Amino acid sequence: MKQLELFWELVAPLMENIPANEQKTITDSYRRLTNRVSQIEKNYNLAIQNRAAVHSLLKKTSDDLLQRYQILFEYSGTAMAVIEYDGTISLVNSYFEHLFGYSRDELENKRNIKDFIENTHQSGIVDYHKRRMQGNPSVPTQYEAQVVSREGTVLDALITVGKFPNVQQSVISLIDTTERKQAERELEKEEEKYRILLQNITDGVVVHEMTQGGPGNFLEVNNRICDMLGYSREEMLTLSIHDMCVPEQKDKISDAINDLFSKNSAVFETEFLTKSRERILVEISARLIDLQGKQTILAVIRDITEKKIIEQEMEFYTAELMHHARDLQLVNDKINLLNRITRHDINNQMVVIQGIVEIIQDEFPDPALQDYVKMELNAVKNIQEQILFTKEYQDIGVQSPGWFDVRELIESSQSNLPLSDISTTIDMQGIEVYADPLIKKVFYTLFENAIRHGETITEISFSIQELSDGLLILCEDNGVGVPSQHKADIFTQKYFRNTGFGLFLSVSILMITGITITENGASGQGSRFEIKVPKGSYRFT
Amino acid sequence: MARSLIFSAYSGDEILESFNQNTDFSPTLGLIFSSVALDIPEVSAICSQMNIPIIGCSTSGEIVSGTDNSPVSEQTAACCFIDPDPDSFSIRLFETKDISEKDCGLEIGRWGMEAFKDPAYILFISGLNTNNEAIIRGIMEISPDKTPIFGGVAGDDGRFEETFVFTKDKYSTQGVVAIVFDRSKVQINGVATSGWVGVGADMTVTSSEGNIVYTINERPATAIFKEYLNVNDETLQQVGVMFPLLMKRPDGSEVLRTFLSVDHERGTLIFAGSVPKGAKVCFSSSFGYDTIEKSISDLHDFHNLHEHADLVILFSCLARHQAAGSMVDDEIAAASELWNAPIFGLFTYGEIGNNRFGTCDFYNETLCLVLIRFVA
Repeated sequence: MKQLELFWELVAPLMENIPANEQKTITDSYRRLTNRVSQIEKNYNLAIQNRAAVHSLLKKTSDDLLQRYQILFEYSGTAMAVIEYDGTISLVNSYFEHLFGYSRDELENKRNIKDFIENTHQSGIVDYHKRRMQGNPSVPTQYEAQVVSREGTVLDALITVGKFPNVQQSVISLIDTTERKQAERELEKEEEKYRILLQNITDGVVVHEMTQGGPGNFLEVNNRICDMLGYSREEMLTLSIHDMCVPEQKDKISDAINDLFSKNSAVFETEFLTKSRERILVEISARLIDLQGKQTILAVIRDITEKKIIEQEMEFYTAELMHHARDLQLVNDKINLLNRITRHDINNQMVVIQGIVEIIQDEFPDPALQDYVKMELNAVKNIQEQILFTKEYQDIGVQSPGWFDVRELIESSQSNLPLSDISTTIDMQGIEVYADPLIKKVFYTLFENAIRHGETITEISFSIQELSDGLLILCEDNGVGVPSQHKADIFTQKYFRNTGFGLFLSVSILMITGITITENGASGQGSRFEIKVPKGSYRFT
Repeated sequence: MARSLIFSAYSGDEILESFNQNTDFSPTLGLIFSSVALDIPEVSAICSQMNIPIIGCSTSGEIVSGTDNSPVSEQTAACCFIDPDPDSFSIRLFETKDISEKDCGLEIGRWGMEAFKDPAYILFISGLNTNNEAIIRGIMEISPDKTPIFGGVAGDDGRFEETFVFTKDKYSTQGVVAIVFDRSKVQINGVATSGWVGVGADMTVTSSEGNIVYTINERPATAIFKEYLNVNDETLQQVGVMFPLLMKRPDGSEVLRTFLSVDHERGTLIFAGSVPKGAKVCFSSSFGYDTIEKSISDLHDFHNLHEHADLVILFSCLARHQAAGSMVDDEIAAASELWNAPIFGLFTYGEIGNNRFGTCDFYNETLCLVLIRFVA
């Protein structure tokens, strides 16, 4: 511009010598030229400014990006390293130091990445690295491997690798997945456990999705339902419960769905069709569950065809039994009536005989006759006792068995007996036995026998002892005991001393509900009765 | 087809002289894009002697094709006189001084709708603090969908001091001159193409109001620009126009925003269009040749859709000229070859046009090409 101005200074004096219109043309041209040059200079300066600004912008933005990536590298939350062509680690972040237990100074440009790879994975990963550096695009960018820390700890790691463009370097990111892997293994075990449970359960189990149109296809089935219906698992997974149900009972499915939504569960019986079109009766117990965010139905399906047949047979036999029981009751009632009338008549006649014999005894003092009279009276007494026995024996088993508190039975049995010189200990509480209502007579007999035959007796004790197959109720005293030669006879009708009927009846009373009684005390050291109650016939309250 | 007289002039007198020399036809409309070096009030006054409707604005460079020289000139006036049916258009100058930009846009829209049932607009806007986008939104709000709106923001040779719009009667440093065409008689189509690319990481506009940006990334907007461009207060405006913000809108669209005014004291920048708070922005830059290549490619695509024009008006951003230098001649030449029609235009501080999806928007750093075709 300055040169142009200098040029004009030279030209201007010459302008005076040319015509005015030409002067104007030249002056205008000069003005336009100076404008143009001025603009070019301005634009040139602007271009320099712009160039500087572009340089600054690029530097600043690249610095920004560099800082961002440095922060990303450092705070990615994974162990990161830059790996050179030959595997040398040239840059690491803090997490990498922490994971492997080495300082940055010990790692950068001093160690090779393969040093940290567990032996069995080493060759594969080194091969990946080489191929990646050669630009092979088929090398995986993410894989799992095991790495080894400074202490020799083997860690599971998820490794992600990317190659930097235009340079022979890659960036590697390792996520320590040891805990996750362990959890996965635990989960697999748990899943295996549940799978085994599901597949080995004796009932059929199905899970199916609920859709707007009703139950969807089965999502999961166990082996039992496949066996039950004759389909393979793969076939089952293409079917729904509607495919199983017999046509005339499909309404039950709709009702059950309504129940599911109102009560969250439903139990119903229906008929299913097997693959071979056979009908089976099933009981379905279904619940609405949330499975991985989906509303699904878990249903347990039991084949009750056999059970139903047995139930029907049971009903038939129960009816039969009731019919026969009624007949037996009728017969029993007649026998009892006959017994009572006969017993009453015999007793009347025996009273007459006894009265006549006692008159003879008073009127005829002949010693020879008195012996016969005594024998006659004795015979009368025996007949009366036998009549009494028939009365008591007649009552056994007439009433239905029930539950009785043992302590209460013992306490009420002793209440009317003369036990003033004999102390009683009852070491039990809250035990009930299932027995004939006459069981009270059993304990009464035990007390009565002890008083009558114990001789030196001062103590009677009752206790219990639970065995693997039942309960023992023990009755022990400190009397003379049962002589060993009579132990086998005390429970027979004919014996023992004049009380055989009591223990014989006791055996019969107890036997009705499977209870037994034995005596095993040592002779001379007191008697010891064991009443053994089978499992199911006693309970603790 | 309308006849036209297009020429370049270095002064107001030259404009009048060239206009008067024309004996071929009687123009009914004049458009004048003049450098502020020509003294715009004087140009406006001279226009009043021509006795036809004239509208124009100040520029940052002028475009006139069809001469032996470069189509681009500076400190001149690009003049175009045509003879459309006087009933097919109407012109008016609107002041924005005492009215919001949005209301101004609504007023323009109402005026256009009253003038013609199916209007199309070409606008020139003056003022360095104006939210030009808001004017466009105002017109769009009241107009039928897809109403063509094109135009540009007046320049002042890159000085960023004072810009003008004018008619033959008056001029305004804070106003809009609009010409509305009857679309039943005049077809208007156009496209805007940029080529600027984002540079660097995203930043967040943390405080703004309309087109005034207070802070970016919680720092004064001026500080961010000065730091990244390594410029001082004196050169910030001149250089900053070359590095507009690339703004990412919530709807996924991107638009460039250039600031036309700086408040150094408050550290704020006044952009040519809206920059809402929370917007994600990054710097952008042009890499010269790539930008021109892209625009030429876009012009070819647009030509495939609209092959014919009686007149082509170019609104090209000042920054394109500065970034691409004489390469802008190539895109002007490409337009000239494609449409074989008279081409004239100006370098602006902002452009109004359609994106490739046909949606009207306010842009910076674009070349906005407008095709005018007289049907009747």
